[in-house]
Amino acid sequence: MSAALRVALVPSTLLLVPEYAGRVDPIPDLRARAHAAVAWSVESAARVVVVTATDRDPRHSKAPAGERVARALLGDRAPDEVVAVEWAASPQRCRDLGARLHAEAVARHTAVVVVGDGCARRTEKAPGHLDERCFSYDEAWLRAVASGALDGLRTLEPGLGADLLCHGRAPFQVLAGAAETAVCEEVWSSDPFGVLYAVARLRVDGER
Amino acid sequence: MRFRLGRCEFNERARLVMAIVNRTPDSFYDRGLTWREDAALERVRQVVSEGADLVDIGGIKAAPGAEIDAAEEMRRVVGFVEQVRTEHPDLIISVDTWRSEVARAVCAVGADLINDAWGGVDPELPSVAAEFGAALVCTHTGGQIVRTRPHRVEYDDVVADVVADLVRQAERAVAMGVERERVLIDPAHDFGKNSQHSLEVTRRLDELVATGWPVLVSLSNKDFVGEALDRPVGERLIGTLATTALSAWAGAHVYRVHEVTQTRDVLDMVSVISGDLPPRRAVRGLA
Repeated sequence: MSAALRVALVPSTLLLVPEYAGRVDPIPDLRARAHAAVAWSVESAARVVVVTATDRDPRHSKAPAGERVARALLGDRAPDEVVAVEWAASPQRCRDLGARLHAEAVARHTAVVVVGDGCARRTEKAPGHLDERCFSYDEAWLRAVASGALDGLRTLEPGLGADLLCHGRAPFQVLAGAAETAVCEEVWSSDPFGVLYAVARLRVDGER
Repeated sequence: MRFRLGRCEFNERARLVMAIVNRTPDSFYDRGLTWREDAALERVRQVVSEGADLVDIGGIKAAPGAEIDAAEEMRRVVGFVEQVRTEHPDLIISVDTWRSEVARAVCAVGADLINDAWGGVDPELPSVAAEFGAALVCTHTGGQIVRTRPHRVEYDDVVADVVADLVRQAERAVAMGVERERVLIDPAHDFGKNSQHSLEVTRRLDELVATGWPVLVSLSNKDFVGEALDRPVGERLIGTLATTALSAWAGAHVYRVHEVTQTRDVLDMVSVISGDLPPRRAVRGLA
């Protein structure tokens, strides 16, 4: 019998990295939930792998935002590996990365921290202004996470996801490549700035 | 650099708002608005809620006028200081007086700071601050007689005169027992100075900051602001705030003001721009 692997899913917002912080935390609830989910995922793991996307149009030499979010949430525990999938990677590329991730995760009792979020065009004041196609797109991935039917993530359309500034599409599809199903122990979502954030705790069976 | 007021300790990045609370019927700006005790107590509550770090309570207006003896000055401020202390146990209380007997009486009922706004005319004032562990503001008046206006005052170098006089006063206060970390210096804009002098002091305020003593500036609605813009009292707020911003950028630490809310915003804005304080809220472009 193999142990269940723990997966934490958290948003890739730069509000979660300390370098830009103001004096008043605009997202205390999200921050607390993200910290708790990540702590839960790694509490008995031998290794930690971070799965995130590269930045959309980087004009800097820093690590991708998602990696820096993960490091901030992991605190003293540095990740053993960071899989920063290309922001526009094809679903097949994501699936292949996921399959490799699954094999290694099972063999080496690994926690997975998936850093990605939904569409950033959910309101008129959202980073990408309003695009109502966001709602069905976000509903699809959020439903797949909440139900544990992760194969539902595989059908997220990359072009539409790019239009809608969905930063989590590729890492979500890596997760789906690693596990078709999971048990969702907790999911929470909110879009305070017109970007859909979710925090989830998933258990994935070690066998495929 | 660090300095202490009451039980609070501050460093060189502090930018503190000192709210003026007049117990006078005739001060130039508020014209007796807080002459009644209940109005003055309400003013204290208001400035605290607006973000003042300390209050400066004064019983005699600076300009010439009817003579107010020590007994009358004490009637105006001592009981009031005691009430403020009771109502605001943690508030830093300053009293604007040049008289050591008044200073002794207000320190006995809880004042933390003596603002010697007339430049050491009573040589015993530092010994009172020392006796009570209070802080002391040393000011430069160019030898001006108490409650008189400058007339044809000239300096070879006003800033050099200010620096030399204030450092001498500060060291003397320390020698008399005032804690080194409880001595501040104030160039006293308009006091013993024409407007050109006050503007030059403002322009070269960094030279005062470089002395290492914490610097207090009292700019609020003063004549040098009025003359710079040709604005009467009542129309000097924008000029005051511009001067406040530049003084803050130059590194002054305490700002004696009438308008607390606006000054607080200006000082916080400077602190945020300078990187001494994070923005209150940071979301733009990050979500």
